[in-house]
Amino acid sequence: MTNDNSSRNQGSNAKIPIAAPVRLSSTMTLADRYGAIMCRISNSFRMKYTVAPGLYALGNPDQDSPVLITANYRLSLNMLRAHLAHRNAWILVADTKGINVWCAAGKGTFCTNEIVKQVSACNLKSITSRRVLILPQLGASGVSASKLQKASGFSVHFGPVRASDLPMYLDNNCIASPMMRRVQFSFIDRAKLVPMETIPASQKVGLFLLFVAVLCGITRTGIIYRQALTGVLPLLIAGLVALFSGTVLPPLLLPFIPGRAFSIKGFVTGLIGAVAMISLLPLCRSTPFLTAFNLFSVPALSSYLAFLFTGSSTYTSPSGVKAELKMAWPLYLASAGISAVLLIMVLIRFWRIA
Amino acid sequence: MKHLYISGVSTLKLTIEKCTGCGRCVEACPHGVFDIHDHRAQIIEPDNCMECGACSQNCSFGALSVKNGVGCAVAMINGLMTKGDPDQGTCDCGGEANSSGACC
Repeated sequence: MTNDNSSRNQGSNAKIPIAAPVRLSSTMTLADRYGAIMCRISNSFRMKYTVAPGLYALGNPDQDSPVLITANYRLSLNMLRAHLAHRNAWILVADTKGINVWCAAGKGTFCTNEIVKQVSACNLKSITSRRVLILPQLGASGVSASKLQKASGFSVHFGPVRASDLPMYLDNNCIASPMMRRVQFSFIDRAKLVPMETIPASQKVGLFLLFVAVLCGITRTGIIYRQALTGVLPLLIAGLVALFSGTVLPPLLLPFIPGRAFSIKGFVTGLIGAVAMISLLPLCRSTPFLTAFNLFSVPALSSYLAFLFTGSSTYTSPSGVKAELKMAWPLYLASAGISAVLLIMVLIRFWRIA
Repeated sequence: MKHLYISGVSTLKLTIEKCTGCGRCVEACPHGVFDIHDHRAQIIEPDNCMECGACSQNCSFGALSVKNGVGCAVAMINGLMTKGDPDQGTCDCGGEANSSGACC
């Protein structure tokens, strides 16, 4: 299929002119900065933050300039050009449906065939005399360097993991130091991911609390706001503590929280949160059922939310996540059941007093 | 501080007889799992392996095998709930583009 494609593209060179490479600058505009922030807080924004696949010219590249490959996620391209200030390079953007290099490689869209296709579609051979493609290292899970080499006629180098190491890599004759080859998960990397953990979880917890508030407010004559608010307030605090200990603390403090399993890390932070909340706020221990609910459900929810962070981490293996799931899933189901019973007890108690 | 995940679970296997010591695995691995010793690859940090498949994808000699995938709880829970199999799931971080399985 790939061969068909490339021969067709090469064959049609004479008839269909190949679009001139789009010029890029390494300067980050206000819009680029806005985009970088929005990608961290909105899923729908991020999914549409794309660039057209094809060849781009950064600075004033000539036939001896390096060729760098990336994904058509705009943030990926922006990272690349921002770190290549005052340099000339060709940037070949693969069509990964707007997904970053690593995820796209894992899902198979950043792959050998796609890059072969772009190399011939952009007629790269006529543009550069250097027969070398520099791929981001994290693309390696989707691309076979030897197959790409054979199919494209270019030799393939895996560059560093981070775009910020590219200048040093390029200046060092395309040799990456061992540290450039290692993926990191620094405090700042992790902090950037917090909103995308917290926001979706808050929406679900919020909806549930709204439902509980309505239940609390029910009287024979209708729903009373004041009663709904008094009833839901301690549960709102519990929800906020669970969200904080499940979606904020685990990313930020990841290597310092005891346990290797994310579910255990979340349980630990949740338990600390629940104990702190109960001892500091009398409202959270006003009835024995409420105390029991808080002590039981907050750590359980926090554990579940922290477990979901495995998908955003840079080092969890599918075998490890599966092992965690096997251990934790029955406990989560049981916790959900017990929490529901305790919550009903809390509500019954509340209705009696109210 | 180094991140450590659950140990002893990686499915990574090296068939040393097939290895030519080309070093592509050392280049591709983002977690420093490999090293070259005596012109052969060696797994020096098996518990660092996140089973991304970069090494096996880039081993031209078939010396490396790994059951690769993405270590994402959301995808596995979705698989477990909808198909009864954690391996069959996709995550929901992709919006509509995810219908083509484009996300991780």
